[in-house]
This record gives sequence, C-alpha cells and structure tokens, in this order.
Amino acid sequence: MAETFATPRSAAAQGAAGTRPILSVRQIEKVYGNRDSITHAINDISFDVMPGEFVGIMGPSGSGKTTLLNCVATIDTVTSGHILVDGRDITSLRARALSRFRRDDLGFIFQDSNLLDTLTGFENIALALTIKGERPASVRARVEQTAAALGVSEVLGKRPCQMSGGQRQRVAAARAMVADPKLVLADEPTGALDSRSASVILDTLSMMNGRLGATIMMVTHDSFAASFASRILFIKDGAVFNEILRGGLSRAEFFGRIMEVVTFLGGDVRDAG
Amino acid sequence: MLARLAVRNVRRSMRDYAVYFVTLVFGVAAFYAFNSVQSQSVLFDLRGVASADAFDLTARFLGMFSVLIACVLGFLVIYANRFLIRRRKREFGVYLLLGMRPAQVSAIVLMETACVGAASLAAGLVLGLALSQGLSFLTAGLFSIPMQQYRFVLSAEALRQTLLCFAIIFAVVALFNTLSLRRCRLVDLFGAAVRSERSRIRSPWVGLAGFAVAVGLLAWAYGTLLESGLTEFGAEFWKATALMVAGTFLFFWSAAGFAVAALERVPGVYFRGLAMFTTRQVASKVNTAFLSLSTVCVMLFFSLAVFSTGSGFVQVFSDGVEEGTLFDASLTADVYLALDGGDDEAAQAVREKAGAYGWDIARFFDESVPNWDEFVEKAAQADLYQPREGTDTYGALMERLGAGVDGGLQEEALAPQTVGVVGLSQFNAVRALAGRGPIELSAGTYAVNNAVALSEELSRAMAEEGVEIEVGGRVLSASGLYVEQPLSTSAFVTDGAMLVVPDETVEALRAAGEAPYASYLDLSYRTDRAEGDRLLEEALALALPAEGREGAQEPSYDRSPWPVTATYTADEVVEQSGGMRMMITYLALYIGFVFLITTAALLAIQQLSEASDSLARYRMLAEIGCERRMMFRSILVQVAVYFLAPLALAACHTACAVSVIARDVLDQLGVSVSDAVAAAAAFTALVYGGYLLVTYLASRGLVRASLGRRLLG
Repeated sequence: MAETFATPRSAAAQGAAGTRPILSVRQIEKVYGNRDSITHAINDISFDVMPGEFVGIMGPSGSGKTTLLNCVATIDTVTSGHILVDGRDITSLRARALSRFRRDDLGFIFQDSNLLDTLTGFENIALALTIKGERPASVRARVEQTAAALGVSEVLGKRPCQMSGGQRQRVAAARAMVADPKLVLADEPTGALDSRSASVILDTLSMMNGRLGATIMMVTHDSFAASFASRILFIKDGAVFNEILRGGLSRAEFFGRIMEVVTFLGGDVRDAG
Repeated sequence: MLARLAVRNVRRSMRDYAVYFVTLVFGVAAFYAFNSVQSQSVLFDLRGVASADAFDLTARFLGMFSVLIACVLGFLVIYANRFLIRRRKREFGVYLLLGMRPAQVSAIVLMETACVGAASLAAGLVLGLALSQGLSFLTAGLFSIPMQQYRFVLSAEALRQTLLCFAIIFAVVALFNTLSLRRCRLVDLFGAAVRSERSRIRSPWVGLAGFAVAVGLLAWAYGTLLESGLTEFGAEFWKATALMVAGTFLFFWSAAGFAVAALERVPGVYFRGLAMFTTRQVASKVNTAFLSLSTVCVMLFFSLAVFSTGSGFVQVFSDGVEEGTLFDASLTADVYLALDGGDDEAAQAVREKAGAYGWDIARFFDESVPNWDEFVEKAAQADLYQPREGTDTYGALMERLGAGVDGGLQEEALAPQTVGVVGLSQFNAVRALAGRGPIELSAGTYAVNNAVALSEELSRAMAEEGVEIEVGGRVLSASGLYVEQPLSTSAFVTDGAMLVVPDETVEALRAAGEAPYASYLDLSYRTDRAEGDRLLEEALALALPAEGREGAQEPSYDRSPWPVTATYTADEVVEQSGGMRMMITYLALYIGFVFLITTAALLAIQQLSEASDSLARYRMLAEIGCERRMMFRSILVQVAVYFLAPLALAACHTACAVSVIARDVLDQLGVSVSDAVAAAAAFTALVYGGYLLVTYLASRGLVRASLGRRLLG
C-alpha cells in the first residue's frame, strides 16, 4: 500500500531532466469568504508540468480541482503563491496582459464545448487565430490542417447545433490547438458526453499530446478519462493528496491503478465523515 | 410583501427598463403636449373666427392622429413588456417553485407594470407640461401674432385624455402578462433559459436571389413613383406603396444571408479580428427580426418624410399669403353652379336675377345695403367667361403648342374646358385696386394672365407672339404680353392660363347670350380690415337674409350662384394660413417625433436583450483571450449596423418620395425643401443617434458587469 500511494515528488523532474517546466505551480492558496467564514478552496498546492506532458487532475467534487484550473487559466486569482507559465509569473500580470496571455499561450476545452452557436465549425476554430491578429491569408490553411488532424474536416461547414456532442468537443479541441498554445487546459471534456463520444475525444487528446506534442492539463472526476493521461495528481480538500505516473503501463492497467486510488480516496472521505 | 418584491424587482432591473421608461416618458409628454394645443388659444387674442377655427381644426386633427399614436405607443409598450417578461421566465419559475400561486406571481408583475407605468406617466406629464408651454411660443410664431400675456396653461382635457389612453394601454399590458403567465407551465419557465438555437440560416443562393428581387422591387417602386408622381392617390400610388413595402420586407429577409455570403468570400475582411463573430451576430439577429426591422424601416420612412415635407408645406402657406391678399375682401359668384347644373329653371332664375342688375354685383349691394358706400371705398368686378361655342379648348392648345400642365390629373381636368377670358377694362380695374398699372391691348389681340405656377409653361406658350386663339368664333392673336395678376383674395390663387381680351370681344360674347361662369367683386375698405369684415358680414346678412337658417352658424347670409357664393377676406386668409401652418407643423412634429422614438426604442430594446442573451458568448470570447477593445468594437458595430440599416433604407425611400413631392407639388409652388430636409436630418441624427449611443453604452455596460475586470482585462 505504502508503495502504491507514495508521492514521487521528483518523478516529473526526473522524467525530463534539463528542460524547464512549461507550468510551475508554487504553493498557491485560494481563500474564499469574509472574516466570519473562511473557505480554503486551495491549500498549498505545488507541482510542475513539463513540455509534452498530459497531466490529469482528479478529485471529488469540492476538492478544489476546478478552482486550480481557473487559477492557471487566469480566470480566477490566487490568494497567495505563484503560477509560472514558461517561466513567466502570471499571478502578477495586469488585467490587460491577462487576456493576451490567454490568447497567446493557452488553449481551452470546456465541459460544454463552449462553441459559438452562431458560427460554423470552421469559423469557431478560425476565431482563435483571428483574435490573435493572424494574417487573414493563412487562416484557412491552418484551420483546415488542424481540423484534418483532429478528424473534424467534414463538420467544418456545420454549426454547433448540427453536430454531435463528440464532434463539438473535437471542434473545441481544434480551436484550442490551432493557435499553437503552450498549454492546453481541459475542464471535464467528457462531462457532457456519452461513453462512445467520450472515448473519441479522449483518443483525440492523446493524439494531440502524442503526435502534435501538445502539453495538456485535464481536470476530471472520471477515472476512465484520467487513464488517458500520463500522470495524475489527486486533489483532496484543496491539497495534492497523491500522484501516480503511467510509466510503461497499458491504459487498462493504469485505469486499475487509478481506481485503487479513487477507492481509497472515497473510503478516506467516508472515514473522515 | 409582494409589493416590496415588485418594487425591488423594478429597481434591480432599472437597466432593462431604462430605455423603455425614457421612451414612454417622451411618448406621454408628446401625447399630452400636442393634445393640449387647443387650450393654448386662451393665450392669444384671436382676432377672427378663422383663427379659432384653426385651433379647433388642428386640435381635431391632432386628436385623430392621437389614436394612431396611441396604437403605436401601445404596441411599443406591449412589445417591450413581452420582451422583459420573457427574459425573466426563470425568475418566475423560481417563485412558483417556492410555492407562490400563479395569481401571486401575476400580482407581482401587475404591480411592477403599474409601478413603471405610474412613474413614466407622472414624469411624462411633467415633461409634457413643460413641452406644451414651449409649444405656445411656437404657436405664437406660426400665427405671427403676439402672445397677450404669458401664463401657465394646464389642459384638463388633454390630461384626461392622456391618463385615459395610457391607463388603457397598461390595462391591456397587464392582461397580456397575466394571460401569458397563466398559460405557462413550470417546465416551460425553466426551459426558457435554454438558448434557442433554431435561428434560421438561409442558403446563400436564396439570400442572393431574395436580395436581387428586393432591389428589383424597390427599383420598380421608385420608378413607378417617379413616373406617376404624387399628385394623385390613384392605383399607381398604391402599387408603388405595395411594391415598396414588399421590397423592404424582402430586403431585410434576405439582406443578412446575402451579406454573410458576400463577406465570407473576402478573407481580408472576414478573417480579421471579430469580423466573423460580428457578422454572424448581426445576421442571426436580422434573420429572426426581419419582420420588426421592416416595420421599423417603414415607420422611419414615414417619420422622415413627414419631417422633411412638413415644413415645405408650411412654406407654401406662408408664401401664398401675400399674393392671395391683394384686396381687403373678395365676393365670389360661382354662376356656373346654376348654369351647368342641368337645372334649367335654376339657370333661368339666375339669368333673370343677375340680368336685372346687369350682372353688376356692386350695384346689387348699392341698392340693397344703405351703408355700402360708407365702408366700401372702392370695388372692382371681374367677370370670367368660358365661351361654349367657337372657342379653343385647353386640350387643343396644349396639343397645338406642345406645352403641358405638370401633373397628369390637372391636364386631364383642364383639357376639355374652353379657354377662360376676362375683359380688358375689368382686368385693369382689378389691377388698379391692387395698386398696379393698367395693361394695353390693340384690337384683335389678347394678353395672357397667369398667377399659378402649375400652368406657367402653357401660359407662356399661349402668350408667344404669332399664336392665335379662337374665342367666341373670333380669332385673336397674341400680343406677346404675359402678366401674373391674381383676380381675387383667396387662400390659393387659382387664376391661371386666362386670356385678357379687348372689351369688344366680351361684349360680343354677351350679345351672343354667354353668361360669365364666375364673377369676383374685389373690395377695399374705408375702415380697417377687422371693422370692414364686420360691416361686410352685416351687409351680406342684410342684403341676402338667410331664411329659415337662423340657427346655422355660418354663413350668416344666403349663398347662391349669384350674387355671392363665397366670401374671402384678407384677414381670414392670413388667419387660415396661420392655422394651416400650425396644423401641418404640429402634425409633422407629433407624428414624426413619436414614430422616431418608438422605432429607436424598439431597436434599442432588441439590441439590449440581444446583448444580454449573448453574455455567454462574450464570456467565451474573453476566456479564449479576446481583448476588451475588440469586443467593444464588435458591440459598437453590431448596434450601429442594426440601427443604421433600417435608417439607410428609410432614407432611400424618403429621398425618392420627397423628391417626387418636391417635383410635383412644392416646386410648382416655388418652395424648396432642402432646408427642411437638412433640419429633418439633423433632428433625426440627434434623436436616433442618442438612442444608438445609449444602446451601445448600455450593452457595453452589461458585458462589463457580467464578465468583470479579471476576464475583460
């Protein structure tokens, strides 16, 4: 047991010795509330994500995992601590620089895909480029290239309401990828999908990570979804509770490991309660 | 408890209500102010009956149009309310879920409506009171009479009307709301929050075809209008109107699809910043709201046209006054009423009666009114003849001279008539009375008298030397003389394309049994005009007692084809033209203003609700890192396009209609519309631009408040 649930803090650093982490979370803390009632949503979390990693963040509801993602996404602020993306401290960025940071360095995949319903698939993907000021002439080629890589070429002319949930999510993934972000953030990307569509989008994420070299940080509470990641951080009560690496395991074996941790986590919660 | 909730709701959704509220206040104010016009008459020393009549008439017309205005405002209130209610369905759902009875929810909405209604009514009435005081000064200006002594006027009647009208509107709104809430089931109320994604997309080819047809229809409408003119409201006019409405409708139905299809093919524009988003936003809004956009466009057209032609018509009534009031008073005998009436007995009676006085109206009065000479200083009579036999018709002349009368209707009416003639000595007597020198004619020639712009072309052609015209079997040749001499006092000078012939010719006509078709007796008083008018009225009543009609107000004398059918006095004409000026100005302002604010408010409400429905989209844009400036620019473009598209089309319609009106009516009367058009444009820009700006700022504020500083940057 002890062996299984040890926290190999140095694992990531060992895995990619010599390279600088793309994301470096340093002792962040997030406190909600006022004088009378204080909620510690995040209580001292630190971790690194190396370039080309696919990190899963798991945890039960209320564990603080979405707050963590929002802080990294600069949609929310931390109370203390630092978040470094590619060496730059984003917690000290001013309001205007934040949107530029999100635009240039991040890609988002949300639970409900969050595509603009009035735009076609093509236009939704292209938007990530045009708001960056990409040369209009090269927009079409780049969108089509990314769409082809993610297998959504045939729905480019359709509007979100005409696509299946899985197609929508893959278009959202294409939008997140098309502008070459340093880090792709995925928030419960399978949350609103049936299991078949979920598999497809997860395969897509793996492919983005493996073939396109995207660095992905995915928040999920679904063990199956998490099993596609290369490393998983378990968060409980606002702190990193455990961390496991896929290493050379097959996905099915890794899934088994995750289930063990989840079961333990659940049991622990029940015990504590 | 419910009342507290209602008041709190209103206060909280102030932003939603603001545009609606302000418009309602303006509407109430205009409604009260224009309906109170009649009561302003106490401020003025109305010298004659005509001025009082003008007030009555204006008030009656304004009252009539108030029904239309009330309908328009009522429509706005109901529309805006439906919008606000629909957006709050979820909130009502929560009330029901918490165990409130539907009646209680209805009561809350009812109280909110009452709250906003009462507040806007109160504010509107205060503003209306102020506005109506301002209108009194405008009235003084239009009538060109001084205000006796200014005092605050409160019109109880207008107050009553305004309260009643808006009470009805709000009652209807309350009914609508209650019904729509009653009908709702809980599941629908919550379902309402789910964004409807069924905004229709039309294929670009359908859009293109529709757009082409729309442009074609509009071109056809313009062509029809330009060709047929606006002097008659015949089949052509209605055809043009129908085409214009259909074209407008189809234009907005297809414009969005067409614009998207066109823009998509220009990557340099479409793939720049938020252009795609902006285009799609506008397109989806226009596609779903094309009906209200076309309505808005038609109403704007109405408003612009009324604004820009109204003051033109006002000028008509100002300019005509001088030429129409050369004489203190004119008595008109429309002899043709008896002679052409087909009633031989009546014709014979007039011939006998007039014959007894040698057709001399002044002699008739001299003999029947003892004090006639005491107030009439000088009189001049002009007898107009249209000989039946051996005389050219206007139709024949137009054909022979190749000159026409502008406007199809007049030409048609004029063509079968024979040429009108007046004797030289009578003509010169009239000129002398107007203080002008005599004209001279040698035997066998004629001069042309024309005081109407419409028939100037024909008259000048008739006056050209070498032209010969047959009158009563004799051929007269043109002396080359062309004069513009109104023959009587009247609101509109109607003496056009008439020959002044030597006296022998007239004598020959008389000898041949011709009678004048009309006679004018122009008078100049020894006394001032007001006193003269009074004495003339007395004289008429004395000479021509109105038997058995004592109760009737006007006229106080017996009208007959001879000696007097109608009287016009210079004072009356001045007052009437003042009255017409007032009526037209007020109608134009009233209708134009209310239509303008209603349409602008409609668009503002739609855009604001669009902005609040799109908050999720802006949030997403912010999340993927779209800069604030870019988003705000997109909002500005969306609002501007949505406001300016109907305005632009309405401006095209107006340009067409106003140019036709100017060509057919106002230019004829020698009035230019360019100043009026400029003033209308400035006023529209101010009001409409104000609404546009407020809508933009409010939409921006909505996005800012929803996204917060962190996301918005």
